Amino acid sequence: MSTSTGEKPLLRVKDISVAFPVTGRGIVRRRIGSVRAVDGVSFELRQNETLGLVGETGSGKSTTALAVLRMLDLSGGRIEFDGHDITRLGRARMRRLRRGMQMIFQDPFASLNPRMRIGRILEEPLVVHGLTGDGRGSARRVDELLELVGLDSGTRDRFPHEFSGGQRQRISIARALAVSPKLLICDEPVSALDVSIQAQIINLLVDLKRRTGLALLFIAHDLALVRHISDRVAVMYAGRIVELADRDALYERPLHPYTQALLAAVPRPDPEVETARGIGLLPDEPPRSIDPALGCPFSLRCPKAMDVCRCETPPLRMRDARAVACHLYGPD
Amino acid sequence: MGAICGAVVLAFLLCALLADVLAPYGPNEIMPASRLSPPSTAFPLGTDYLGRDMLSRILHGARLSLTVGLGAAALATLVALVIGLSSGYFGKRIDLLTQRFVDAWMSFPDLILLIAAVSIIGPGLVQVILVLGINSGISGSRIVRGAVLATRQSLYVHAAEAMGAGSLRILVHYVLPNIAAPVILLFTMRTGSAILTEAALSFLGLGIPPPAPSWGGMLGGTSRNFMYAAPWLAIVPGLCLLIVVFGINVVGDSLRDVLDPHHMASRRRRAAARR
Repeated sequence: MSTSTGEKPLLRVKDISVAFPVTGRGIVRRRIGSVRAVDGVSFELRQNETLGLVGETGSGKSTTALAVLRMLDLSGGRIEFDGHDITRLGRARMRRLRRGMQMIFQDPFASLNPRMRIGRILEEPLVVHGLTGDGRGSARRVDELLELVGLDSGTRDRFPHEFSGGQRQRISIARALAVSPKLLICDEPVSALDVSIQAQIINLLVDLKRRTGLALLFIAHDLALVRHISDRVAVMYAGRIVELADRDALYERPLHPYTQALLAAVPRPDPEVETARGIGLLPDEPPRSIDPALGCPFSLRCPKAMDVCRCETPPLRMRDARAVACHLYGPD
Repeated sequence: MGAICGAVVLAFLLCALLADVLAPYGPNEIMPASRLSPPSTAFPLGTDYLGRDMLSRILHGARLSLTVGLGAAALATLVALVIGLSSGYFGKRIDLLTQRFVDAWMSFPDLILLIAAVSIIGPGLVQVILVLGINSGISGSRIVRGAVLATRQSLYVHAAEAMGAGSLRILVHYVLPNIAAPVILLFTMRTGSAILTEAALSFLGLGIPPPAPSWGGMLGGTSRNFMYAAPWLAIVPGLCLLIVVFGINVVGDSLRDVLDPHHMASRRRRAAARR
């Protein structure tokens, strides 16, 4: 599973929050409140480890990813990457550090500059980080990258729109790997692709990780996919991590009622099982992220909610080598 | 359509360049004996009220009109790009300040502003280019800003930021190529309108001072008094203005299509298929 305990984590995210202001209507646009898209999220990621981040739409997965990359301003918390505190790093130093942390986006149809040829797209990160050396060096590197992601070197003179979604996602993986990053953030990298292509891309990522020792932060809402690729999995709900555990522990014995509900919602390929089971989740209520006043944000939908859940937010507590934020499980 | 108009515009450009060779007479050469003569073999487009050959004046006028048009449009595009890119890309306070300035500028009627500006700095080729270019550049910055705002939100710009690219690099390599279509249209439309506005200013006697053969000046001035007797005085420069401005606008449209990467790729595929 994860690497030896003594090793320093590559990425340490501590209690980060991201709040977006909610402004009133009219000319003045007075600030009338804020949405806490991410609220006190903490996790660590080691070299050669994959952390899966799952949760429904709007649970703060992508916001967490953007915050880790410092593409969004934090309203609280602390991020350490590769031994540096990057929480308040200036623009210029942050740009240099971006070499170590690259990202793959969800929509491969929008994430490549339509006016650049593939060769140029792959050279860009090298140019930006001053790694081109002489001109021939970068041409060779482009060929290497194309081969790495399984594309023909003749594709370098083509434009992005000449490729299928899967091929484009390979190109954006190649672009992310051009500068040999230590951390690769994948924000739903396959949810825009056909199922048959999804497996190819996932296997490519697994293979690349094995070969390069990359750390992956893998965001998805497809639980089966996350199980396939992750070493550990964090489940998010309403901007918070509700459960974080080793993959097998989480999938085989989910503790948090939300994790249980999520796993129960995965369809089984057996019609009898499928009709016999019930999900047991209370009616769909939107998570209360505007006013997280008091109480567990999941208490509105939770079948096991108790009185304490509605007045006190449960902290993320360690229990049996995993972390869970639920009043059902007291401190160890 | 684009090719035909391109050829026409090119023909006018050639005429402008080769005016000295092509023109049968000097543009200001006065032949009092043949005043107001209708088109004939000696004077294919007739002569004006002083006996100057209209063909020669039109050819030399093409040089002036195209210089004004292209010069003012180039300046306008530059001004629009500088204002529009910084306003749209950096946003926030810079955007607010520049856009209120542009609002204020655009609330003045164009022609009044131009007349006021020309009467302050005086008529003349360079002055007209400056005034026209800056004025239409400021209003054109809106078009650039709008395009930049849309492009700035695109995922590939975010991807470039995440990659670690700096602002200047993103502006030049990511934003600028993707707003090329509206910028090309801006340039060609401003070329046409600058030629027309110069004609209007010269018609009012505020453009390029006589006896320089500007197309607008040929329509206006004293020749107005002879238009009924000698209609070619109005028809010839008017028709030239129409053809050139229309041609430039069509060329702009097709240029935008040709520069689209989708087009480029299919052209290359066709070329490869031929090979």
